Amino acid sequence: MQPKKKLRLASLLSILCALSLFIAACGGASTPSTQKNPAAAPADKQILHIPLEGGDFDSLDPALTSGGLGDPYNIIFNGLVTTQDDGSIIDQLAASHSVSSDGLTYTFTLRPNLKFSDGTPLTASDVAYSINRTLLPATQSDVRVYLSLLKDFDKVTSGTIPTLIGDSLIVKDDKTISIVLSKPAAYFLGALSYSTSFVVEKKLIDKYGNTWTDHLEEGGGCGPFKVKSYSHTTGLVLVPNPYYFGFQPKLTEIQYIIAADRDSNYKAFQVGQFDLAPVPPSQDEVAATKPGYQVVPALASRFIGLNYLSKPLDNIKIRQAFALAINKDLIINHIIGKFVTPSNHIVPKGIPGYNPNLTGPAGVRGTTGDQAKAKQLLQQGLQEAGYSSLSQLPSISITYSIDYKAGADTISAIANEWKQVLGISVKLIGVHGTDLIKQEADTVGHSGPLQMWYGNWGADYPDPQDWLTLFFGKGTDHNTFNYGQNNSSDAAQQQAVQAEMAQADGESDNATRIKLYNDAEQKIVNDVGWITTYQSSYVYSVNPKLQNWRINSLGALATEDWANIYLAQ
Amino acid sequence: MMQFLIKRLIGLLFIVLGVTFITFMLGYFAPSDPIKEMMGEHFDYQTWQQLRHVYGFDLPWYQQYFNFLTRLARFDLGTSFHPQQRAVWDIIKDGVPISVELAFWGTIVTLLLGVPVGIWSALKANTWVDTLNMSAALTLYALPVFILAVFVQILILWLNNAGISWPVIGWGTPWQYSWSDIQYKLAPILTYGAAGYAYYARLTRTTLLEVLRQDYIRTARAKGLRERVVIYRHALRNAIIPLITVIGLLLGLLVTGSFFIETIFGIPGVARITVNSVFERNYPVIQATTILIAIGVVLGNLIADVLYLLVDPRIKTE
Repeated sequence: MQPKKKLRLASLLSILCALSLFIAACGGASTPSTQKNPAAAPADKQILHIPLEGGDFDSLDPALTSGGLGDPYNIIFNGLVTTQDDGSIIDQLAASHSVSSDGLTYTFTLRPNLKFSDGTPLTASDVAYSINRTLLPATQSDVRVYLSLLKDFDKVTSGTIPTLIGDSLIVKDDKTISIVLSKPAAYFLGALSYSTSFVVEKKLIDKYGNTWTDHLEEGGGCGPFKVKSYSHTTGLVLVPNPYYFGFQPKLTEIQYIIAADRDSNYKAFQVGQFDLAPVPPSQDEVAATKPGYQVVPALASRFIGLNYLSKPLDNIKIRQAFALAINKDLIINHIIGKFVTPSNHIVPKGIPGYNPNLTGPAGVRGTTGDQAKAKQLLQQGLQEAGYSSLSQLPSISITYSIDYKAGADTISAIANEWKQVLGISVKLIGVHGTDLIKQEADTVGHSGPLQMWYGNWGADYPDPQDWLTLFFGKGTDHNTFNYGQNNSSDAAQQQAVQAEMAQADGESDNATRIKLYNDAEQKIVNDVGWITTYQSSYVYSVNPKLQNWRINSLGALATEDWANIYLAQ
Repeated sequence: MMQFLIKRLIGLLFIVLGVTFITFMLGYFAPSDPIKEMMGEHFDYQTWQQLRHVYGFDLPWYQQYFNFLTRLARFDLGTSFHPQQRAVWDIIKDGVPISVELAFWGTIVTLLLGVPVGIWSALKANTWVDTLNMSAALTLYALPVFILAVFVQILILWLNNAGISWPVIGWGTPWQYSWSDIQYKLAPILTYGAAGYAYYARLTRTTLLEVLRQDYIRTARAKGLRERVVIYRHALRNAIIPLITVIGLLLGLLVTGSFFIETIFGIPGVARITVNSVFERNYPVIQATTILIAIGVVLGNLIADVLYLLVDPRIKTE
């Protein structure tokens, strides 16, 4: 009997130990380490484990990926210029650049002794080859639009001309390349910082064709890390590139591991399988009490789009009534959580040119709306549009993605506010996210299929053009709101705003440019171009031993950040 | 027997052809535009038109279907939308060994648990052992597999909190069994086994009970045969026939039968590829996995029929 008793006691103790460890792990707030630059773990421990949520990369080819803002793209490959954490653009492979007086020609001088990760010298011809390759029809890039400012973009993408090399991509010598634009655009360098311009190695692409990214361990990149191995079922492993022109990383290996959904990945982070993971909304409150929790405002927003070609949304006062009836603070705090920021802005905070003095529609400040004014504006709008009562209003619907539950809940709550404040019943239509994107594209120039919808946008590059001209500019594919391209009495005024944005796009003086954008944004907000609900955030939990890993507002880390990232002891 | 096999394999060809036609038409008439969805927020009209042409969506449906069949005859399943430009065959080829491995070990666990528990329950019918076994089986049978999988993950979290380091997700290297690989694979395999064992336990119990009531079992006992011989040589051999049918059918779903387990445990198998492709409207991959399932089910049936013939000589191929 004695041994059995001992066993029972041991079992009891181990259960108690397990419980105490569990309670300790789940327990109250821990204070993050305040020690600056703690000692690094040995080199063999400098391995960073990152989950790949949902599976493999959409493509490792920088000309094809739609995730080309951050790693691993910006650490395997480099471009002429790059985006820093504060949104500014600096030279990367270029040592310097100059712009012609007409703003049409950008000339870049490369750094000396640039090499690919296999040691092959990198020249201006490689830069021209890479940019041109993105645009060739054979590449089938659906993100080549980032290079649409290049002269003869349409001709090369349609196959009318075989190449842009020698046309708008002029290689002057091994170190110098000029890029010619179709129109002056101050945001060109921002667009050029996207991965579609990253330099790739022709030799590897010629050897392996479309599957060249399966062989990146042979070379192909020029960033601070190179590929050690890549498997479509397990993931990607990077190691420092000895031929990199800049810093040598402290990390000896980065493993991008093909993982599961966000909830499972977070559990895997908790047991140490990963060094960082996005926090699922359900875990946010608990995660916030633990060390390594990071919240960063994202250059991304959610908004309610309203189609100017759909009645009664062609009336500005009715649009303003819809906007001011919403108490964003109330809805966001109760449904989304306090880590996002209710907002009236189209250009989010963090983009150069963000206007802190912007007011909401009809001069209303704050994000709680103005329900009394909303009612008043609705009555005025009904009168202007010739409706004698609410019952005469055409039916109004709002479409939202059923794939994003919090978004669906937000729209349901907003529709409830519209019913209570304005007395208007808005029909809710739930569709899959992919269908919503398709319907948005179909709404350009039409009164449907969308009347109102719940959309979202994340910055491609930190420039107001990516938020204003892209969505409200004349004839753009993203002007799903039909701003300036409608029959309302405000159309002429909207077209003047479009001209103002076009002027800002090409303005070389930054202060003047920002002023023009600020003015245009205020006018669009007054006309309720869209109703911003909130500016999103990136919420991460990071291994407390991981030093200097901090995501920026673009949801990425600048290439230079990787110089200082390491794991402490 | 050979004639029977040839007949069935010709039938398989027509079934696969039918499945390809139905899948193709469903994709063709689906109210969505895969190219627009692929381009997402980067939509521009010119690129959209060019990509439609590249993928052949600007052709009439019969021409698209004919092209699809022509490619299929060359074992070319086309090109995936996500990730772009990757051959569908390459994507499927990566996932098959992983899914087969999961299903193989999962089925073994299912049978190793289910059949003995079923036999035990049948032998102890209507006692507390039977009640307990069948209650546990029914509970697991009623529990959706995704709940079971999440529950297992929470158990692993507890283990880790107790100081036992164990991975929550992942699969390790396919068909390799280092300690690290075993750690990855154990939880999904046991979840697979636990989710499936209840069905086999109940089926074994029912069929065995039925056989145990037969006259020839009574005769065997009357002849003074040992109970062990009566059960394992005479009763179980006959009781196992319906089980073979079910196992045969299960073989057909080996490759895709674990949608939830692969998704929740982050296992990059065919089931997960299928789930992702459905969400992304990635029709070339959906078509390929559907064909794979169809071939699996028909072959599974064929294997079941052949096993039936081998186990029960009374059944003729005619």
